[in-house]
Amino acid sequence: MDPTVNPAEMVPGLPDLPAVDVTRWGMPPKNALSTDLSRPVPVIASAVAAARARDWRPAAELLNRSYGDWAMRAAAVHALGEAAADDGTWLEAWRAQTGGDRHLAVVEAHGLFWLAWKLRGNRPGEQTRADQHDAFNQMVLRSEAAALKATELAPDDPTPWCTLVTLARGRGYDNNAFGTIWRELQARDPLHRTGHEFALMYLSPDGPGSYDALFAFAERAAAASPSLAFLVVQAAYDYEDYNEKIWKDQRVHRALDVIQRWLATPAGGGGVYANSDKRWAAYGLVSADRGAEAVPLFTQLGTDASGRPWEDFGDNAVDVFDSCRRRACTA
Amino acid sequence: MKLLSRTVSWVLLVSVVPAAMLLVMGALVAFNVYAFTVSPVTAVKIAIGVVPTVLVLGRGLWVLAAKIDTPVHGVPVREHEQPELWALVRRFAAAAGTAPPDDIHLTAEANAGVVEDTRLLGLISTRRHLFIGAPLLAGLSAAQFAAVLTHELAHYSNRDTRFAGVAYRSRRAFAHTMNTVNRNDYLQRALHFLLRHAAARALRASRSLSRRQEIAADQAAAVAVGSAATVAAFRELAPIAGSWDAFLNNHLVAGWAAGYLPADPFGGYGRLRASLHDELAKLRANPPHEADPDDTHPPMSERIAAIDALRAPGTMRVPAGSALGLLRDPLPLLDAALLDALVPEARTKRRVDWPTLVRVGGIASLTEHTGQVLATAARLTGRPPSPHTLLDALDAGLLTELCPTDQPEAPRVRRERARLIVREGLFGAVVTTLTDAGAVVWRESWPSVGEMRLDERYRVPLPDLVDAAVADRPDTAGLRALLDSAGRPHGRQGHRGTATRNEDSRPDGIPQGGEAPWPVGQGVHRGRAPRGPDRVDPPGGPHGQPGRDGARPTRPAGR
Repeated sequence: MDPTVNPAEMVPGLPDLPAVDVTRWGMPPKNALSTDLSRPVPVIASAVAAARARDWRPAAELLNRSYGDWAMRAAAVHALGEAAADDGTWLEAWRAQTGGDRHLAVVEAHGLFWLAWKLRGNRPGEQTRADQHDAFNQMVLRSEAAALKATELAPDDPTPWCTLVTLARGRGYDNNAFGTIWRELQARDPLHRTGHEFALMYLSPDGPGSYDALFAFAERAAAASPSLAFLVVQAAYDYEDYNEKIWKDQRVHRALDVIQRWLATPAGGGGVYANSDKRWAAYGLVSADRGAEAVPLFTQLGTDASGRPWEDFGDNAVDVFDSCRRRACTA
Repeated sequence: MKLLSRTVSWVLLVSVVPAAMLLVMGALVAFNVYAFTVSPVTAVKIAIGVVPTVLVLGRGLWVLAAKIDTPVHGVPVREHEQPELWALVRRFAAAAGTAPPDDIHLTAEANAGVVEDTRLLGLISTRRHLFIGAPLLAGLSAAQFAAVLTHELAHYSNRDTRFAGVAYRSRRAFAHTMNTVNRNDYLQRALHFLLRHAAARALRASRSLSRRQEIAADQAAAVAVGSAATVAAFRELAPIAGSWDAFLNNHLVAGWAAGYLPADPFGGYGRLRASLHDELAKLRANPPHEADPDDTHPPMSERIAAIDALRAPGTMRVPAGSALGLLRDPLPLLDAALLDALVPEARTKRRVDWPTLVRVGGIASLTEHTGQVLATAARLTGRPPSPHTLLDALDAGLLTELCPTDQPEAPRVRRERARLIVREGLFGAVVTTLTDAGAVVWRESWPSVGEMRLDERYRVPLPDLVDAAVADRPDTAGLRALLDSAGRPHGRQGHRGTATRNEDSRPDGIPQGGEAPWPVGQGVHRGRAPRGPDRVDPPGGPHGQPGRDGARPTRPAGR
């Protein structure tokens, strides 16, 4: 499925996307959708809102209180990092007050990586100016240095290692360098969700190469925990540009079943990453011609059109989300 | 007899593919014609399936039968201008048992070759061209060059070139047909299957034949020039190719954007080779193995071992010294070959000596943003554009305003972008001023493209001073002091030493790729760790893959 392709836009006269009123399924209208990635988890949302209002204290409290809950910490740092990349005033205030601590350090490192992306923009390489590439490369180096510093301040914290995994591809690590970081992350949290998500991106081939290793990685992780079953869907999503039949693959269908069962458990349905699982499952179910099963997931997602896979489509994220849920409703 | 049987088997083999194509095509047409006599309606239905296939085959055969004229490039070398080179070519053509080429062209590529224009499946040759790469003349001795030459000429005597033309066309026709076949059509898919298997044998056989011909040509070279010179020549090919590539990508175009080319490119190339001594020695000792199964050459190490084993003393006399000694007034000719390979714009560039090129190219690469930033500073402060004006603007807290943009960006993103651009602009402005004042000197530094050094009187870490000036709490005092003291007359001009903080310490000039390779002063310029891979498409950011909306990054071919 390529959700950005609307047949009617390519050839006039072809049927437009299904004209359905998604509100009949209890889904909010398109104009109510939000791509704010802090929203799905209320405590993170309030910390980010405060940070954007230049109050660092709720963020510091959240990170301090939840230290040890690595899933929450990774999600919070990801959302706070984006806020820090937009406006670093609250980070400076935080530093001025505390002189810098392990919580500040980890947000700062991740924020620098967000900043690198915002300086680069998310257009493909050939549509990106030399100074944007330059800025990206320089900022990724700063992010790397900051993350390494953060690992020293919090030796048992996987989060800065996760930042290093996140920047691995942009930084151009070779397999050895990546392997070292990956082992450090695994030693601290073997099932680290975000770490696995970005490791899969690092491992994803650049083109229509062999995706066997990618699926092997995803399946191994999924076998370790249902919380990582989404990786198989993510691998299929990476591969679909080169092989649409991947959505008929039994591995993908099994993974979709596992994610749905996982979401029905209290740990899966109530966790920090519940919405993330719902997104991957919904995208995968629609792609795999099981759109009807995706309807309840879209209903639960409500206005939340943030995160992957939608955010990969940049400014079209909301369009892709909307077209995907419409396909689910008409399935 | 051996030659005849080789030729016959070659022609048989390479004709398998076209013959099979012709046969299938004829059979399809005949069948359709027959069908027409039986039932015209059915015949039309059949034709719907047959016609596209026949067209595909016909197009493939057309590719095979069309005449091939080599596009001639390079600078023609006339016999009356270069009698010694022509005499050598004639002597070694005779030694290889063939007629000399009809013309010689000097190119800017790091290889040599013989090509024929042919008609009718390569059976008729109309003209032979000899192409000689200028880097070979610059990098080989006369004896080594003679070995390469004899190898290329020996392909004539074996009738290789003529039938290599057939093999080449046969392959091309095959590839074209395979690419044109519509895999969704069952009939064409069956044809694809048939051709693939029928041709695979012929292609494999032609490959092993042409490998044997390479070995025969190697032997001819060894017999004429001697095993030692032939081995030395073959070992030298990779070092020449590697260093030439680096030279073209980095050094030659160092002043391109500023409008300059070196006046003496081959002098520079010689110095680059000398400076890369250790790296090239490694390449020479272990010739890289091109593991391409379609390569018609056997691995270089095997060829070298076989030539060594011959222990041929050589039968021909070759002048001692460099291959350049074979040319009268070689430099203008090499230069012409080089210019011929560049875009026409190259002829409009100013030709300057290497130190000048290093300076103007270096300053141009550092001042990309300088003009813009100085002009904005002048507009903001109402003063003339100068480094001091820029520092005033920074002191006034105008960092973000120095880099106006119409993009809606978050405050920190905007500020950091401004900081990066203003930093580059300021660095360029300061370096320009210091260069004019004689406080910064630029010089050749092979194998890097060049380096700039701050006079030892100024023991200051220039990158740190620039960083301080564009910091959130700007400190411009250090830069102001530097600019002021450099602007004052002093009595020790000319005495320049090493300020280690300010050296460009790039290890070598191995190509970076890209169109504006200018690493000079990068170490100074950034004052930080080397940059990561240039122009990456870095999926894996918080945004995931950049732009999946049909703008998913298309990656450079070959990755």
